[in-house]
Amino acid sequence: MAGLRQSGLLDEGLVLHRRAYLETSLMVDVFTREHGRFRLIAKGARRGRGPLIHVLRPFDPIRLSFTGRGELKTLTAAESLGSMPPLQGKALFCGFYIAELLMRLLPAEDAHPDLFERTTALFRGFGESAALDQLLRHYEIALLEDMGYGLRLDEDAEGLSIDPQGAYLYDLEKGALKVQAVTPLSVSGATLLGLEKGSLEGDRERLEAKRLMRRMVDHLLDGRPLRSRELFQSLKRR
Amino acid sequence: MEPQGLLARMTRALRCLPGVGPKSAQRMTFYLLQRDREGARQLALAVLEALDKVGHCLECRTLTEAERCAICANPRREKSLLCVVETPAEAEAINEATGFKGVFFVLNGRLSPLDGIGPMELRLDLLENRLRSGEIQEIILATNTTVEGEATAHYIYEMAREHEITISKLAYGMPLGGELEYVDGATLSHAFHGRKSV
Repeated sequence: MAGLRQSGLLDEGLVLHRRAYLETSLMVDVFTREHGRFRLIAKGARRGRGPLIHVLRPFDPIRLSFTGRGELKTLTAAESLGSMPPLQGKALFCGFYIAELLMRLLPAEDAHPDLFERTTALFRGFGESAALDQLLRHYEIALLEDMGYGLRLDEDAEGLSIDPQGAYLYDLEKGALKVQAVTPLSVSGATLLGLEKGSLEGDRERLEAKRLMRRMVDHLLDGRPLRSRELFQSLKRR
Repeated sequence: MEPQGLLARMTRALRCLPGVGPKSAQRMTFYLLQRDREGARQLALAVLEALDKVGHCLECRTLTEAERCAICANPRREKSLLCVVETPAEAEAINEATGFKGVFFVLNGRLSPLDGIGPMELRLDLLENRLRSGEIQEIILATNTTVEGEATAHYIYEMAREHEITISKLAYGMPLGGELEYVDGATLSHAFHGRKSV
């Protein structure tokens, strides 16, 4: 990797969060391609007009090197990996949501290279696309799959093709269970198929998909609330 | 075990100051006790009294010992023009540098869900009340250009939008006297896309 001082381990990563640490340093949560999610200290990153604080901007891709065997590593060098348009407006709040999910769900130092690729693409997509909810649903499915909860969206629990007109209850362990009557918890077959294809057509499908994915994600979180979701909801009530 | 006794206690206490490590704290302790005992007494009394009496301005939430800070209490300030900043120091900086004639709202932080800071921690309910009262005609968003600062600005923008208020945001751009070559990429890109016709 040209340009980076060779010291410690090299990797590519995304900055998930950063906060001030002591006088002049930053504590940074990163999600890297080969080393997974972990936390490191960027010594002196807030001192002077050095470029490090600009490089370590949340949701931006970086190339980094770091040392340390413990939980908390030390950043030895970092450089920006490209020209991501800075996230604006609602996309910023989506960024917080994804960062919080990854910080809560990924065990430390556990590599998830596919998820890393998808996360990089997602953050890029946030800057370029207006259909934020579609991007989020698509990503949530991939995240669940990476966590070992792949969803079956094209057939029901009995192996029958999903009927677009039918109503289903989705069980994370068993899959889609066909039900006779529509309930607040049921989703239409069209929604399941739309999630499978990655294109949700109507408002109803989008709403159902959002609720379904929220229940799935909440299951992984063991019911602990997400602060970024609370913030996003209070923004939308405006 | 840490050293005991009053000298050590004073040195430890001084380390709460920004930029003060163990060495400088020890130097301060010896200086105050050997050379300026009266100064030290004044310092101690001033800190204690300020802690007891300085609180947040009822209107703008900046630090003040009065109910309302000097700016909010000044009848010549335009109450219809409100500038939102993250810290009291930033309000002070804008006040001194720009000749701003309006009033401030100090958030004392910024939205950061990953640190557990939401709208209530910033007392955005108070800001909402002021927007609702109808006295504000223009709101200037002067939060920092960090992602949290930007998110905070967006949130307040959504709040203010319902109230038919002029909303503006600080311009980004080249630092004065700055040379293009040395400006970081993100700033340069903002300055370029936000260029003005002359």
